[in-house]
Amino acid sequence: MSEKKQEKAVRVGGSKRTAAEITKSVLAFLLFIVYMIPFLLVVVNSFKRKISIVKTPLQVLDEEGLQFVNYSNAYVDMDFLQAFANSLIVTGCSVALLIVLSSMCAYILVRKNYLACKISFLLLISYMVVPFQVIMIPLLSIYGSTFNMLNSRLTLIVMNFGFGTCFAMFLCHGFIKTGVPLALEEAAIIDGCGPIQTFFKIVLPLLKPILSTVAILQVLGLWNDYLLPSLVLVRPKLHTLPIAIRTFVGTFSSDYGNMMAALVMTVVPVIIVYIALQKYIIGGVVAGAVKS
Amino acid sequence: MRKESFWTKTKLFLIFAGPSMLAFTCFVIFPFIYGIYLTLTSWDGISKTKEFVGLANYITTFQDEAFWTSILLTFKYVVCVVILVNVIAFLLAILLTSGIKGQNFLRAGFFTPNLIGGIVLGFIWTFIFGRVLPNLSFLESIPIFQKSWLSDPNMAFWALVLVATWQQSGYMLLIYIAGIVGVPKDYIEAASIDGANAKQITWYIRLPLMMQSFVICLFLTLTSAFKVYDLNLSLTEGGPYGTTKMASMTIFDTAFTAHQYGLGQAQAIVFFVIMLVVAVIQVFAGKSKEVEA
Repeated sequence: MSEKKQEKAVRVGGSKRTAAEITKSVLAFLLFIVYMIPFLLVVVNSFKRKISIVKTPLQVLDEEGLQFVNYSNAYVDMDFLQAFANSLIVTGCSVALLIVLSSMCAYILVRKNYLACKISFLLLISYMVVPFQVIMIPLLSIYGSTFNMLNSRLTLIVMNFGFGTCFAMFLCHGFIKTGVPLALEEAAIIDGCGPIQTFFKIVLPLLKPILSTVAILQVLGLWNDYLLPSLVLVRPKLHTLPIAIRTFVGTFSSDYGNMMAALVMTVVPVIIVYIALQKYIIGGVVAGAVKS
Repeated sequence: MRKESFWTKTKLFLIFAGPSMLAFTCFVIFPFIYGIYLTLTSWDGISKTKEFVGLANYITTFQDEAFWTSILLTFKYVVCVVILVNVIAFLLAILLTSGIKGQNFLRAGFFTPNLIGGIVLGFIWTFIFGRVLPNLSFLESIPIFQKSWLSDPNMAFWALVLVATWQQSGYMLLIYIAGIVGVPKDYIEAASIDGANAKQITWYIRLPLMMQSFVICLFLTLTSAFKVYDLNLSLTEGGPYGTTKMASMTIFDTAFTAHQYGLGQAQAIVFFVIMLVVAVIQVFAGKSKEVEA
């Protein structure tokens, strides 16, 4: 709230439209266009034939009009629907697990000072400095060579949960500590609620703001994740979008039209969601970064 | 409150923290410990037996020129990306809080590359570097645009830096904007009443109060640049001729391509320690300059 007020103050302070103001606006928009050019070029070229992409990549339209054939080719060749569904299942289930179970974990770690809670908290926060590269090789040795659990979306989902739970717990931990009044829970207990009921009926609804931050950060990270999924999901039927697009480009690397179409199809769903939820996404990203 | 028995405590802990701690133990703690054991073996990832070789893998790692070349390259990459991203993001943040029209739209727009993973961004830029830039006739007279950046070892490195900067500056921009907007107005008012000029206000009021934003941004850019893999893979694949192979890719290749799991894990541990030291120094150096508002 206060942020908004101050933003307004900034705007009011600079309301005099001078030459300097206009220069700034022009500069900012020019920079913005420069930032967007790579996307624009890919979109434009996805509607062209290979020959005109190679010869005149800057030309907006193909001489023979818009070419939709790239899209139908890419759609079939990279098994787009399957990859999209895989991404959706993996991201959706992982985030659902993360939200419910990490907030439960955070709750007990805040409210109880058992020795187990203190140790758990220390272990979880110390993972935040460990890069995935250190876990990668033994993880694959254990769950690939020994237990043969690869090539399953469920394995990836629980792994995503195991890796993500630290940061999710950390964000919830801070929020519960300062934002959830103990008196509410005590009242619920006096009214006869057990600990589980108290959590789901009283605490969880209060955690909405921080849980939306957690969800946004995790969806962004997991939807685009490549390294872990590529190690776990080897069978083509299970590929998520980032793996599918890499396999696709590797196989049809000279076919620029199809490649452009595949890239556009991968990016567009994300952009649509972004346009719809832009305010929350930006808010969530900032909140997540500042709290860490 | 009545005293809880040991069993109540255990039950409560297991219900609430059990799932998280179980997954965390299975996928983080256990692999981490097992990984340290792996570094003491010469396992190839396939055979049934793991031969114990003591510290041989660490000795090999320390003597491995290719590994240290990739670590040095990663350092160079980290320094370039961290500086460029933060300078550009900070300047953009100043520009976008100066009250120009459409600043909220622009803020959202600059963030867009962060919605898309390194793999896809890498392929988008492969096309730009490989097909578009060499095709621009007005750039032909400039030497650095005469051939594709990705086929020249030196320029391929800068291509990676450029794409990373383009992507991450939009992210850090948001944090810097939050920092700039978060400096309380009355502090600045008080300073100007006391006779401070614009430059003094920036140096003595704004920047110290924004220190937290700098610490966060430096930490985020530093750790993500150290770990870079996706972009490295899709933009240059470590090429041309393995000249842009960063630490992550080297570790990956040692383990999964050359089938030296023990050695790869030893490299990963050395990499982790180096990264940890740098990150800790950065955080402590930054924290010491932080001021409470």
